[in-house]
Amino acid sequence: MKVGAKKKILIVGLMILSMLAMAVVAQGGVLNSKHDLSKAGGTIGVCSFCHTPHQASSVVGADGVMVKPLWNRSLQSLNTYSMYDSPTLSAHPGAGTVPSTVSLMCLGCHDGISSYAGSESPAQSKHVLLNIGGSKFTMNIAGGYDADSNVNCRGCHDSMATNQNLKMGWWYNDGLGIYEKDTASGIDLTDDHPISVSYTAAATAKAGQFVAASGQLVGTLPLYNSKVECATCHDPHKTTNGYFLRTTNAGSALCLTCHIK
Amino acid sequence: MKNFIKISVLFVMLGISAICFPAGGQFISNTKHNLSKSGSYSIKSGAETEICVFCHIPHGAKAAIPLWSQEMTTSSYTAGQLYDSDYLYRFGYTLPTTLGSLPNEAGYISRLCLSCHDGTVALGSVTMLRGISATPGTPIIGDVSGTGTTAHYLSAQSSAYIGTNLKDDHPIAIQYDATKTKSFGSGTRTIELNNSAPSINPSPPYPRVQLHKPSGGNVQGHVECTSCHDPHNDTNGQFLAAAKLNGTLCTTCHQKAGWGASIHKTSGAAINNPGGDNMTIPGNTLAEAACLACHKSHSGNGTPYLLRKIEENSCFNGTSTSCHSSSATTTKNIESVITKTYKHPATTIGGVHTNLDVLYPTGGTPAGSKGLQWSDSKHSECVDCHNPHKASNTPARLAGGSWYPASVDSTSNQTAKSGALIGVTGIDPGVSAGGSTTVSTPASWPAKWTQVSTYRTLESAGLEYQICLKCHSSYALGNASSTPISTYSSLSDPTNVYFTDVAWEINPNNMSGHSLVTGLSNFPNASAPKALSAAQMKSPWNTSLGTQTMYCSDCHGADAETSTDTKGPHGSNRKFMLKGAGQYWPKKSDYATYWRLNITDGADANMFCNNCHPVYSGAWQNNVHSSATHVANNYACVECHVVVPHGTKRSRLIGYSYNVSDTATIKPYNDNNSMIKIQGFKKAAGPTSYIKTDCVTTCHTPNGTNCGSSCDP
Repeated sequence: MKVGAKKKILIVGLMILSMLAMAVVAQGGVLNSKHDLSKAGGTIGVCSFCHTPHQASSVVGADGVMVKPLWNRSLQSLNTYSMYDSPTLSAHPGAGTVPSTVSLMCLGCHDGISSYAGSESPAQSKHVLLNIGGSKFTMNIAGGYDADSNVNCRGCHDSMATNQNLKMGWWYNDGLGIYEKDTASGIDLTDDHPISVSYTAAATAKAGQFVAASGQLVGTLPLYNSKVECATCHDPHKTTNGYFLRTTNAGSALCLTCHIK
Repeated sequence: MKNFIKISVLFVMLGISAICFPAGGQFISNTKHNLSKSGSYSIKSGAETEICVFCHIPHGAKAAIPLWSQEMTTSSYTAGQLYDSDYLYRFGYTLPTTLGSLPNEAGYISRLCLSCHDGTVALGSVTMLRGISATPGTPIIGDVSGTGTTAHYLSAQSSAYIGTNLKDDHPIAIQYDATKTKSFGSGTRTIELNNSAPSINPSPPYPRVQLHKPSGGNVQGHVECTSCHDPHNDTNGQFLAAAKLNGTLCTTCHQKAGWGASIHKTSGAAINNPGGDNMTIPGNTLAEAACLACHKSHSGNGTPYLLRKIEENSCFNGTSTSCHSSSATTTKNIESVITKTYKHPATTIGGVHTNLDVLYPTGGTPAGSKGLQWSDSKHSECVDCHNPHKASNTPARLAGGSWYPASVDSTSNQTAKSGALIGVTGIDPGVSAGGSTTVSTPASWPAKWTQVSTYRTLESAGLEYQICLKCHSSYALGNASSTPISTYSSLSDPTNVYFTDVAWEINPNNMSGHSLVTGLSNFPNASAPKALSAAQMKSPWNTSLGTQTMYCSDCHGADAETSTDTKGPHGSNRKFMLKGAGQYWPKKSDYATYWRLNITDGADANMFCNNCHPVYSGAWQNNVHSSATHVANNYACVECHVVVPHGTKRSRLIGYSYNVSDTATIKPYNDNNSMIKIQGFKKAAGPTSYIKTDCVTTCHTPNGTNCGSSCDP
């Protein structure tokens, strides 16, 4: 069998397109998921809360990686993070570590910092989308929220009594919402699974405790620059497994994909 | 395109293999720590499928490290509930006073484990279950149960139950410090811990023994539950980080000097485990059982020191035929002999002994601890005379069926002659600092017939009596002022045997005595001839005259050492544990009739002295004994000789009566304080050279013509 190079590209391209489409419309996709912040009748589409086909951010993170794909937000970069560490950890993230760009994109919403400030300042505001209808758009509470706004405030917030009343019951149900606890020393990721740590370094240091990576994959879970990131376990478009997990965690299968325990 | 297909196929295969062989599933999923419904053991949930969730959570972890989810135990674990031992204290260890609650505090890691294992937090009490927070006090995974649980709590019926009293558990939250040492007057003992960082925290493969922060790194990190246990891996059983067999796990850290050559380490004897400790002894042989034959790291009955049973009972080990119980073979059966009438009180006194008590004879360090003093700390445990980590059955000083060594020489008093006495602490006034513990110089002992004021403590006794003196001297008896016995007379045991200051008696500066410290030729104050002649001794003692030395246990031992009794002075049916063919002194077997100077008694094999000295064997051996007048008067032996014949101020174990304030004649040396007739004595040039004037006594008159001022003072 011989297939031309152009055909090969076409096949691959079609596969990617169909996958993207499936991600949006198929059961278990982002549509109607908690990541679908769009509102019936609203002017902002489901994808636009994160992506834009044009005028996407070109910000480059501390790791030299530009935000992508076609990111419709700026990048959290003003914050310092307290990273998870433990005496038994081989790949210590170290003090002052800034998460990799790929995780900062998630934390752009989920770190709970830089909430609405009433304007575009700070520029990294969670309420700023870079390109809506050709121009920068700021989700604004000035005209009241939810009922009349063209964004779905309730997608993230339970109420607006204070700007910390993020929606409960997502993951971190302590009444404070899904964002990470903000502390004076920075954003506290110390109670979260380590990210932006080298998987291969850990696997090398603790042979027998980690499944060997094959390229940028551990089983079916992706690494990013050989590091564990939010998206290693989570697929923001996939809801089949709950909690946007990439695979089911029944029998702790997700955990045991990497951890030999 | 071929490559494209190949790669595609490869990925498909990878996908399939990932599904069929979930990575790592062969480990924790098959252990008791799999509390999910897929678990294979009794205690588990009926509904929850996730395994990790019972301990860990990826976000919003309660105690953060290591992403902990189970509610933490709030037990106080204050001092008194943690392992404590005088031994650690005396080595300068800082003993933990609590278990920390924060990740940077010692004990925190152990507290994680205790969140289930102390039985105060219900199993399944995780902080959050898939985004839903738990109500504190109510296990959100509410159906974990099984044998060993009560209302979801681990119960005392479970072998995994540790409880909130950790006094009988291996210390945790304690900083590991292999550099600690303890100095003796001679010798130094280390804490006997592995001081090699690579071995303490060896490289993979996992699992491995490890120390934990918060301080000091590998060598001076802290011991926590997870130092010995790997909660994710049960390869070795009990989630141990290394094998139990052969002491592999324990000896990773505990490197006891001499252990490798000890009989307890090397014996291939079948281990017989009568049970009763709630944990069977592992292995098939004593060597395989190793540490765990005697010790139990959790919930043993003998605390401190983590013994399986209390004190000597650990050595007996119930009805074990392979240890030292009355069910064991003759060569090992200690229980039967040490429970005889006259004995070292291992079974009758308990809770007094402390390791290193030789360094703290008056006790009180740490506060409340006992020492060696007879006034309040009188005791004798197996480990006072034996070092179980070094003891061996070789060399055996006595052959089976023998009362005495086959031959004797100047080294016959050395502990090296008996594997049973290797590495035991001792005391000696005559050993020099840094000198050999087998050389006790008379010049370093006090003047004759005076109390030893300064003893040197010995990390390892080189001579047998150095062990005995720990108790049988003023070191334990207390300051006796002017006499070796006067203040001890009230300390007689129930069998009315008086305890005397044996150091006082065996002092080589005395004019006569038994050669425990050194050969008689080395007794500087002894008159010539210092040693007895060959004719006055029986084999093997008729060689190396003047240089030969002996053990205390050549005279004291079990009454049936040559047949049914295990050798050694553990216990006896005879007073003073006198051993040998003859076992009675100063009276006959009726304990009422004195041995007297007549041919019948002199030849009586039951007479104790006859074991080594042929008092009468067809002839008398000196012309004092053969004196027709003496024999006709049928004098009792103790009318001339001291009743405690370890050694005396005068020659030939003669006692004086003329001055009752003279320490040499005070009871019990002058039996019944009334027997001795001698008032002055002078050793003759030979055993048959005695003349009347060599002796001052009420029998010979006038006194003035006798030895007078040339008598032994």
